[in-house]
Amino acid sequence: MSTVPSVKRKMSPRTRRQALIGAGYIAPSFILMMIFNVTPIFLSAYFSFTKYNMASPPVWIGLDNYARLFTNRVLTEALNNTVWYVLITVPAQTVLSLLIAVFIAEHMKNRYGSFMRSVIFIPVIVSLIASATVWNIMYQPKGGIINQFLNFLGFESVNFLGKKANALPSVAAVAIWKGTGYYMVIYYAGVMNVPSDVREAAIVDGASSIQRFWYITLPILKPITYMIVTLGIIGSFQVFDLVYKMTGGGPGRSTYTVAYVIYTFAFQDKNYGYASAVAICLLIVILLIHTVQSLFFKEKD
Amino acid sequence: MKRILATLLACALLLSCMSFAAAEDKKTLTVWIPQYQFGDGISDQDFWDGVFDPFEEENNCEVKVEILSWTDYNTTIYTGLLNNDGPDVVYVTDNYDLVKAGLLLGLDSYLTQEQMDNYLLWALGPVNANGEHVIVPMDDGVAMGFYNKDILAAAGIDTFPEDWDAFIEACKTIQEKTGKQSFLQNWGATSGTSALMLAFWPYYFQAGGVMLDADGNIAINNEAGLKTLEFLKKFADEGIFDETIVSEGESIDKFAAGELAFVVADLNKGKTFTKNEINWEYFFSLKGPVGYGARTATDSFGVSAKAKERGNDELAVKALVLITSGAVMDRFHSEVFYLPPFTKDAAYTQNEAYTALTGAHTADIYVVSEFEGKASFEKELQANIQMMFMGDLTPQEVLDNTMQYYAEQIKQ
Repeated sequence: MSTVPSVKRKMSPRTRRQALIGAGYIAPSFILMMIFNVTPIFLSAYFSFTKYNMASPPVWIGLDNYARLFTNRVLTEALNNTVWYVLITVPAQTVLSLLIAVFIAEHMKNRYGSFMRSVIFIPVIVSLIASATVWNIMYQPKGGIINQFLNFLGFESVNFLGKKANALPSVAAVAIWKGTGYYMVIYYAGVMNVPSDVREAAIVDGASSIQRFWYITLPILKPITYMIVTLGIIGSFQVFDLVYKMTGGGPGRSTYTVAYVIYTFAFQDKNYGYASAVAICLLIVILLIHTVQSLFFKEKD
Repeated sequence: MKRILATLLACALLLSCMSFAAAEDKKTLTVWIPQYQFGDGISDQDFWDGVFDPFEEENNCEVKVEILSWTDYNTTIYTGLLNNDGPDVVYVTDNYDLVKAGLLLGLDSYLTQEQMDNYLLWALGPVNANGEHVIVPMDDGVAMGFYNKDILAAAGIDTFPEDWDAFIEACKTIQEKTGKQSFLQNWGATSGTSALMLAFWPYYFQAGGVMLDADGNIAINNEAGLKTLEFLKKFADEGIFDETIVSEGESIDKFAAGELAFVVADLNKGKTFTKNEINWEYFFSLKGPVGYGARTATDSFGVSAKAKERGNDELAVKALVLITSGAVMDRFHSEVFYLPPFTKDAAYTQNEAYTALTGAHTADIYVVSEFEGKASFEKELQANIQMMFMGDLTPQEVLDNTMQYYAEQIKQ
């Protein structure tokens, strides 16, 4: 049995210089990322083992914060709400953005199509807090435009944000409205990249538009769907701004989400150590979901 | 051409450096005050900017007044005072945590005895570890009830129904006979403090409740707490509270529009009600199982401990003295918001009906106490009471859950 000796290639001075220049270009953003993205994760991990109110030095308490996670009723409710929120927003915004993208790509290849794309994209560029404020006004039980429209159609007014059963779906609806445009643009780019010869062959073979969508477009868009679902899950698990502005977690605790309780534990209760423990757990949960999801998609491939 | 351009650019650079150096000499003071103007009068920003214009000239400084929202105010100032770029002078709501964390400057060594004596509530203010007073407390006034005499007359109610049960019956009668709403409270407010100040603590005092135990810890899991919550629950069960009230000002707007029979609000609202030609009258409070009870509270002004690190301490105390002076507060009370006087030299006097009612009930006015994690406690209690209104919790569970959360999460 012969072995292949490992050959260590020596870098030429030119290659080394190019590598150094490349590293120099990357260095500023790499350093900033390390400072602002990576370091806080390690700091949070450290604080999660401490009792810390930011006014006095942190005190090491070992796993106490983690032990208390499992008995915290508020956190359980928040986790439950967050899962519901993810289950409402992710499928809805994924399916909606896909359908709109396919419709515009296939049936509106004209200036109206580009106008539609722009209109659907507008919510993406509007600030989240501004969106939440406007939707709060639109949701008003008395005088809100949505209820006025419902009254005009002969329906009774709906208490969108003040009733437990309606509050979370109402907040999720705003997230869907805001996120669909972004994902639609990604899907649209994907649909435009579907090879025209494949589509034409399907048309020649007599495939209907639904069959073309189901057997050609959808499978080709699978990597994009994977990315959109991943981004959607990560974003939805971190929902904070909409809840803070629209409901303040209420009524009761019906719109408490994990990110919102991290905020309340840290800044209202001044329990930064405990909040860090919850944040680290949220990070682990998101990583786990991402891993399971990527395995699922890989298996399907 | 290039030379001219380069020379001009160099000059511009030089000038900007010179102006920067000049600005360096000028101290900048940051003042945080919450919004008090909710009417048509002068805005808070314009009022305070006007107050500080001569101060800036006299002290060669720049005063940046930032008007903050009441939402999460306590959280905002706590984190702001921890920060090196936070406020120098700050309006304080719940002071316990700020004092405990050492975030406020001791004021005794900066003020003269005469200045300290001039503050009406100086002696009641908390002290730091060195025994120095850290805030200048002010009387927030007693929150009073208002009733619409025309609506009561239309429902055939001759006298104000002050007993708890009589009040609930009167509310039902008003709704049946007039078709108008009877009584609403701001349980939809996003701040627990706002809701509790008007819609919980007064009833708790009327039921004989005491906020703190012998060790100074909050303790509401008692008979008075239970009676209070059972009383509040009746408003929801009897269809008196309106679940569509999702924001703080809605009940007041309804009263101002003549659509509501009773409301509890701050004294300033009387002006609006009169302007809207509402035939209204004050009531001191309802009468619970133990007696009458209305709440008052003390907000305050303080100086950040970080102001000393920034070398702004003397200037900040000077600004604090200006803000709390009789002359400025008199103007504030007449132009922006109606409150009891702050200092002995204030010329401002209370409205007669208010003075008469509070004078007749001095023993029934309770101060909402300060305790550790008060803002968080109140937010948690509010959320649990909302859940009780929605049928998810019983009154006893509200008390148990709130106190358990307080013990596990809030108390350090």
